[in-house]
Amino acid sequence: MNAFGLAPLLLIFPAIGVLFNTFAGPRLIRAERKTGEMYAGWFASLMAILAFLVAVMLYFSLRAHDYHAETVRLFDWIVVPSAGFTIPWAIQVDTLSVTMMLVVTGVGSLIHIYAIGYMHGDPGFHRFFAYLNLFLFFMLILVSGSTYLMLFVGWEGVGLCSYLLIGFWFDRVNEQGKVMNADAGRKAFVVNRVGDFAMVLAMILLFWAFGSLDFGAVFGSAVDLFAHGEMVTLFGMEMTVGAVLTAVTILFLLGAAGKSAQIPFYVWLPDAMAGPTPVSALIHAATMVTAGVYLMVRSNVLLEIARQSTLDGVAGASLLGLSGPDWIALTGAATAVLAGLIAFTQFDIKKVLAYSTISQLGFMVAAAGMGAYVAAMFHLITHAFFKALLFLGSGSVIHGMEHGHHHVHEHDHEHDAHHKAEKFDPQDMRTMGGLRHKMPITFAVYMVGTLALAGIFPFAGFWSKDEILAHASTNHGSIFTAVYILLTVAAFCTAFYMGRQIKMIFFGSPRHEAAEQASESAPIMTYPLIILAALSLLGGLLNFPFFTESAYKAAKAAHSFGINLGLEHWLEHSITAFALTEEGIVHMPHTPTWMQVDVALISTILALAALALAVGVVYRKRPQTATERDPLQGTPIWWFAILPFEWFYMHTVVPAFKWSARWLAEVLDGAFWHDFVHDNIIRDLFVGFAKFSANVLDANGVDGLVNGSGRLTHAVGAVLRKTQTGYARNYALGVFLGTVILLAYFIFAS
Amino acid sequence: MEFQVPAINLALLSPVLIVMVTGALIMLLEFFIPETRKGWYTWLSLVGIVLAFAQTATMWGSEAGTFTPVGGQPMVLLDNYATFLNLIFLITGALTILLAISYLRRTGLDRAEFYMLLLFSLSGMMLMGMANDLILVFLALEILSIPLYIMAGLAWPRGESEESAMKYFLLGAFSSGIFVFGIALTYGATGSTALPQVLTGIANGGALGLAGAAFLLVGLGFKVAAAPFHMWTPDVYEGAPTIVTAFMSVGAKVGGFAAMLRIFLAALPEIGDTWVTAVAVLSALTLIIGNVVAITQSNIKRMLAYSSIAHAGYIMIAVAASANSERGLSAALFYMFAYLFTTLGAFAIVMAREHQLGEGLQLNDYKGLARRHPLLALVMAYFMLSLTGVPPTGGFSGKFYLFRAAIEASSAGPDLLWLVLIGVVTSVISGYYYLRLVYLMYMTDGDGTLVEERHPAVVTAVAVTVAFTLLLGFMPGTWFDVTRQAVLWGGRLLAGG
Repeated sequence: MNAFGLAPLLLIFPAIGVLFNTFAGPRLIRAERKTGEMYAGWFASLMAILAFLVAVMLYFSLRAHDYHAETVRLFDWIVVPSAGFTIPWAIQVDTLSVTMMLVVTGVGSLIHIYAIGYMHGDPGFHRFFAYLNLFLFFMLILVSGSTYLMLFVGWEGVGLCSYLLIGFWFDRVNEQGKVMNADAGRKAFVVNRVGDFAMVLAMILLFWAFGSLDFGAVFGSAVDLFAHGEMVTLFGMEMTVGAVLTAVTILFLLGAAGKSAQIPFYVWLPDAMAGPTPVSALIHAATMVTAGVYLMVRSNVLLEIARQSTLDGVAGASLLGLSGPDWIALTGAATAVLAGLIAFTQFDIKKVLAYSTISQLGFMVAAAGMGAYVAAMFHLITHAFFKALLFLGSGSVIHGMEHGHHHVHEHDHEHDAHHKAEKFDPQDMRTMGGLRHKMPITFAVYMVGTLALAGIFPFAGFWSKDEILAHASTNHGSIFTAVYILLTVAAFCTAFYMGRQIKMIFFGSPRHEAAEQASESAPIMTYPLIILAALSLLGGLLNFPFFTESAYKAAKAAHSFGINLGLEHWLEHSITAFALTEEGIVHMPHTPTWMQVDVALISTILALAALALAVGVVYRKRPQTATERDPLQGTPIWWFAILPFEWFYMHTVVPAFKWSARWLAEVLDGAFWHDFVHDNIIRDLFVGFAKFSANVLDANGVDGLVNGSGRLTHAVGAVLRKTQTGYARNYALGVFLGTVILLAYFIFAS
Repeated sequence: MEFQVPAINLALLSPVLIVMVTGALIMLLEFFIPETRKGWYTWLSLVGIVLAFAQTATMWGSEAGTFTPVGGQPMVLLDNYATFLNLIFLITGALTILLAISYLRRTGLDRAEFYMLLLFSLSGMMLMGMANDLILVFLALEILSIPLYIMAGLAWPRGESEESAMKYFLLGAFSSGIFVFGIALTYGATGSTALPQVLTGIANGGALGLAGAAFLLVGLGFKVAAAPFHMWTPDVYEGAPTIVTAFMSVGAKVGGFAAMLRIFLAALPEIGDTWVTAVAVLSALTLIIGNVVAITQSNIKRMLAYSSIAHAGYIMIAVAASANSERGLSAALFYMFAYLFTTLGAFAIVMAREHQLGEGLQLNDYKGLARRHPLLALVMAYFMLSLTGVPPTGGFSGKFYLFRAAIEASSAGPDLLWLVLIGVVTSVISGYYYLRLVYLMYMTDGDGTLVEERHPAVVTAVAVTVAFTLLLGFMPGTWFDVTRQAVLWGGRLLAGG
C-alpha cells in the first residue's frame, strides 16, 4: 500500500473546512440556529477526522515502505532560475512528521467534537470552527513542510490563529472596562514577535551557511562540512560549522521559547487562557506550543553537531562555555521548576493548567536539549493526551459551574439584585468543591489526567516523564546532573499542584451556590473526554521501556514481523544519532530505552508523597469558604505568585523592542532619511533640476518642438482631409493618378 | 482542341465548400421558412463556420495542390499559409455573426441575406489565400467583393448606406478592372497566369511584366485600403451598417493581403527590389495619411476607418520586409491575427454605443462612459492601447515583430530603416487620437444613455477578443511560432518562393 499521493489532502481538508465555515457557516446558522450549528460544527469536525484518516494512511504507507521518508512535491514555490535555486512546496512524510500529524489531527478531531457542545449558542460559532480548521491547516503545514521556510509559514500561521482565538471574545470587557481578551491576544502576538525574529535570523544564517533551507540539504551539507572540518564564510569571516550551528541553536532556543512558552517569554501563555477552553486544550496545550519541541527534534542533526563542536573545543562553538543544546536543556529544566512553583499560587482552574503546560513543555525542551529526542517526542504525545484531557475536563467543570450559576439565578428571583451585584467567576477554584458527586464522569476522567500528569504508575505520564529523567540520570556531566535535579523538583511540584487542584475542585463541600447546583455536561463533551482518558491511561505503551535484555530481543524479533509498539523504533528513522570519531562521522547504533528502576522509584515515591502532602496535609481541611486565604499564602512559596518576570518582560524587553522599532521608524527613517535626506537633499536638488528643465528647457525647447509638431500634424491633417471630397470621381482620379505614378516607377526605376 | 479535365481533389476545398453550401442553403431555405421565424439562419451559419473551422484545423500541417491542368501547375494550393489564413477568416466570420445577432435585431436589419452574403464573401476570402493562379485570385477577389458591395447597402432606405454601397461598387469595379489589366499584361509577358510559371518568366518579361506587377499592386492595394487608393474607405465605412464595417475592415483587408503576399512572394521575387521599394513608399504614405487624418476625425467610425488605413500601412511594412527576411511573412500573419481581435473588439464596443443606426457615433458621445459603464470603458481603453501598440497587448507584439523583420530585411535588401522610423513616429501620432477616446471616457463628464448590451453572444465575442489580445500581449512567442510554421512549405518560405 502506498498512499503518499494522498498527502496533499492533509492540507486540503482543513482548507475546505475553513472555506465552508467562512462562507456557508453564517448562512446556515442564521437560517436555523440548531441545525445550522450541527452542520457547521460537524463539517469542521469531519474535515479534522478526514485529515486524521489521511495521517493514518500515511502511517501505514510508511510502514509498508520500510519507514523510508518520502517527499511529496506539490509545486515550486520560489524559483530563481539564474541562481539555480528552488524552494518547493513539498510535504515531508517521515516518521517524525507523521507522528506529529497523528497527534495534531487525532487530538484535534476530539477537540473539534467537544467544541460542538462547548460552543453551543455562541454567536461566533461558525467563526470559531473556521479558525479551528485554519489552525489545523497551518499546524499541518508546520509539521509536514520539508523546508524551514514552510515550517516558518506554519509557525506564523498558527501564531495568527492563536491570536485570533485568544481574542475570540474580543468584545468582552472586564470591570475596569478593559478588553481583556483582545489584550491577551495582542500580548501573545507581541511576545511571539521577538521569538519569531530569532527564527528569521536562524533561517538567514542557515541559508547563508548551507545555501538551502531544505531539511535534507541543510542536514546533509552540515554533516558533510562538519565531518571534513571545513569552514563557512559568513559576513566575510571564516567560521566553523560548529560556531554557526551554536548560534543557530541559540536562536532556535529563542524562537522555541516564544512559541513553546519558555523562560523568558512564557508570560503570554497564562493570559492566553482567555480564549475558549477547547482552544486552550488544542492550541495552548496539545499542539501549537509543542512546535518549539518539534523544531528542536526536527533539527536534531544541527543540535548534535553544535554539541559535538563544544565537546571538541571548536573555536567559537559555545556561549559562556556551554553549548547550544546545553542552554536549551538548562532553559527547559529551569522553566519546568519555575512554572511548577508558580502553579502553586494560582486560583484560576485554567491558569494552574497553563503553568503546568509551561512546566511540562520545559520537560520536553530539556529532553531535546539533552539529546533525548525520542523521550521528548514521547512526552509530547502523552502530554497532548492528558493535558488535552485536563483542559477539556476543566472546560466541563466551568460549563457545569456556569450552568449551576444560571440555575441559581432562575430559581432565586427574590435574590436577583444580590446575584447581579455579586461577581461570579466560574473558573475560580475557591468557589468550587465537592463536584465529584455532581459531575462523576468529569471527576473520573480528571483523576486519570491528574495521575497521568503527576507521573503515577501506570499512567502515560509516568513512562514518558521517567524516560526523560532516566536520560538525565544515566548521562554523565554537570549539566545532566543539574537538569536531573531540577526536573525531579519539577516533578514533585507537578504532583503537588495537581493534588491541590483536585482537592479544591472535587473534594470537600461546595463553597458556592453555583457549585451546589452544578451538573454534568452533555455526552458530546464527555465522550471525547473518555477517549482521551483511555489514551492517557494506555499512552505509555507507545514507548514501553525494556526491563531486560531478553525483552528487548523479543521486541526486536517482533519488530521484524511488523509489530511495532515502540515509538523509538518508529522515530529512529527520522532521528539519527552520530558521533565524530577519528574515522569521521559514525552513525551510532540506536540504543533501546531501558527501564531505570531506581529513577522510576524515586520519582514515583516523590510524586505520591507530593500528592499525599497536598491532599492529605496542606489542603486537608482547607479551604472551607470561597474567601479563605490559601494555606501557603504568606510562605516563601507565594513569592512566585508575584514573580517580577512578567513585569520585567513587559517593562524592559517589550519597551526596548518597541523603542528600537520606533527609533528606526521615526528617527532614523522618518526624521533623518525622510525629512533630512529626502526633503532637503534629494528633493530640493530634484525640484531645482525639475524646475530648470520644466521652465527653461522644456517650455522653450521640448514643448516648443512638441507643440509645434502637434500643430503641424493637425494642419497637415486638415489639408489632407480636404482631399476627401466625398465625390467618387475624385477618388477614382486618385486611384488613377496613383496607378500612373506606380506604373512609371515600375517601368523606369528598374 | 480537346478539353482535358484537370485533376480535382475536392477534399482540399472542403472548408470553402462547407461555407459556400451553408450560404446556399440559407438562400434556399429562406423561401420555405416563413419570414416571421427569425434566428434560424444565424445558428445555421454558425454551425457551417464551426464545421469549416474544424475541417480546416485538421488540415494544419498538410501541403497539397489541386485543380491541376495536364502538364500545368495546381490552381489551388493548401499549405499552412492558406490554412492559417482560413482560420483567421473563419474566426472573423464567427465573431461577426456573434456580434451581429443583437445588432441586426436592434437596427431592424435582421434578414437572412446578411448571413448568406457574409458566408459567400467569406468563401471568397478563403480562396484568396489558396489561389495559385492569377485567374483564380481574380475570381476569389470578386467572390469576396460583390457580397460586400451589397452588404454595405443593407440598410438601403438610408441614404448613407446606399451611398456607401454605390461608392464601394464603383471604385471596386474600377480597381478590379485595373487588376484584370494587370493579369493580362502578366500573361502577355510570361505566357501563363499560374504563379510558378510567372515566377520563371517574369525576369524575361521586360516592361510588360513590370507594368503587370504595378497593376496587380494597385488592384490589391485598393482592397487593403493603401494610400493613395484608400479614399473610398472612410465614406464606405461610415455609411455601411457598423457590423458590415467591422467585417470589411478585417476580412477584406486580410483577404487582400493574403493574395498580395502570395503573388509577390511566390511569383515576383525576381523583381523583388523594384516592388519592395514601391510597397515601402506606399506603406509610408499610408501610415502618414491614415494616422494624421485620423486626428481630425470626430466620428468614431471614420476614425476607425483611418485607423484601419494606418494598420494597412503597418502590414505593408511587413510585406516589404518579407522579400528579404524570413520573419517578414510571419510578422505580417501575426499582425493580422492580432489586428483581427483588437479591431473586432473595438467595433463591438462601438456597436454597443450605437443605439440606432448612425446615432451615438461621435467621439463626444463617449464622454464620461467610464463612470456609467466602467467595464465597457475599460475594455475599450484596452483595445485602444492595443491599436496604439502599448504593451502588454497583441498590437504591441505585432508591431514589435514587424519592425524587427523590417530591420532584419534591411541588411539583405533595400533599406527599410527609414520606414521603421516612420512607423514608430506615426505610432506616436496614433496615440493622440486613440488615447483621446480614453481621455473622453475617463476624464470628462457626459450624459446620454447606452443600450444595455448584455446579449450572451456579444459578451462571448468581446470576451474572446479581450482574451486573445491579452494572450498575444503576454505570450506572443507561442503564437509567433505558429505563424512561423504557417509560412513554410517543405522547409522553404511559401511554395515557389
